[in-house]
Amino acid sequence: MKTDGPRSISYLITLTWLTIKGLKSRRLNLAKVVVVTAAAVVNLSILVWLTNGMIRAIAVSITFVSFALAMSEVIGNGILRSADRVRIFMAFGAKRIPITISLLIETAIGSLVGSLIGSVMSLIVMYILHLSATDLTLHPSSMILTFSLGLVTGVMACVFPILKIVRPSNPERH
Amino acid sequence: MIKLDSIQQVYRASTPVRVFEDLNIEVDEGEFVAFTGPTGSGKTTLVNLITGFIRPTRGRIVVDGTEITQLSDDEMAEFRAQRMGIVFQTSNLISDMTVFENVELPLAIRGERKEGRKKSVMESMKTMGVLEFGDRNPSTLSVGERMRVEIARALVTDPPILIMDEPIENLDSLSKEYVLMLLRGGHSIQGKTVIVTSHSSKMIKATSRAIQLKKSLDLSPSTPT
Repeated sequence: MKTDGPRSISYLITLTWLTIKGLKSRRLNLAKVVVVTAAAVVNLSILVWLTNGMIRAIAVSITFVSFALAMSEVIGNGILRSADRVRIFMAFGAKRIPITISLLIETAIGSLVGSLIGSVMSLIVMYILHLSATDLTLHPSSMILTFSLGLVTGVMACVFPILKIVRPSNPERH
Repeated sequence: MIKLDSIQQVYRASTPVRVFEDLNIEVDEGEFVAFTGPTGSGKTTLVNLITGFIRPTRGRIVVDGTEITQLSDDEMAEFRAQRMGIVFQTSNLISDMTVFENVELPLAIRGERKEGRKKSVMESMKTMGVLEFGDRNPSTLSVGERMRVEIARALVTDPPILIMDEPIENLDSLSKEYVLMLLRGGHSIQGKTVIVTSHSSKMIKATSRAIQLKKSLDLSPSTPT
């Protein structure tokens, strides 16, 4: 390959470029996923801690709507756009491994940021509602739930583009 | 040289479609060739075979001494990045990147450094008259402007082979003239092997040889008039 540096440096340049452009391309999508994941986590935190029937019903409804919005955003927008980018990158010579790594980094960053914001928000809600004093043993499970939600959202955002790498297709559809 | 040797191409479907049977074509280095013919005659299939996006059902394709039909997907991707500039029939610019970033893409994939990338991108965009669109989103450009950006992207790596699928068919007259002028002898394509698919008589006149594809799958060489 004609490059102006050792092969490993070229590889790193490609990987960095793909990741930065990927994150930039998906920044709005990631922001939406982060916000909606955080909102869902807050609602679930409230759900875990509250026993009042009416508030629990409201929390369940909001959680359901939030998650439906998050999933439709991820599936309808982020995933399809990523898949489109992957096809074009491969048409211009990008290999599977750097694309896969860049997608995994995007996913890790998106899901971790979503999880962290969700965790902080849930702790704030618990503090404001004076819920932490009621049962401290529920804290770990609440945190695990938070991270799991962020991770699931991120992994879903990653699955479809990676399938495109496994079974690449021509950018031209006939 | 590009050599297609005894190519058979069959698309498997509920009713299999045989596009080519025993197709033999040779394109010499530096030659400017047009594949022409009606819709459905296999022009885009031929482009996809030469670029390695699809593999023939049977036969060999040799490009510059490399039998690309024997390459793995990753080896083919690397070969494409090194040897080919490709312009697709439909716009394949990434809508959430700027025009500059789209043109920069093949160089970044090759792992070239930022300073070198910037210089090559500016040169290629200048050649195609799209330098002022660098910061714009491709969706804000006209069809003709987008095509010129696609050509700038195809030329940015200075590939020895340029392949364009119906590059002027949907363009306004100004953009059409721009592309034809480039292909007729712009310095950026001198010495390159150029393959285009087209129905346009203006394009066919600009080539050194036209190969007529027919739906009956008969291939007959013709001379541009």
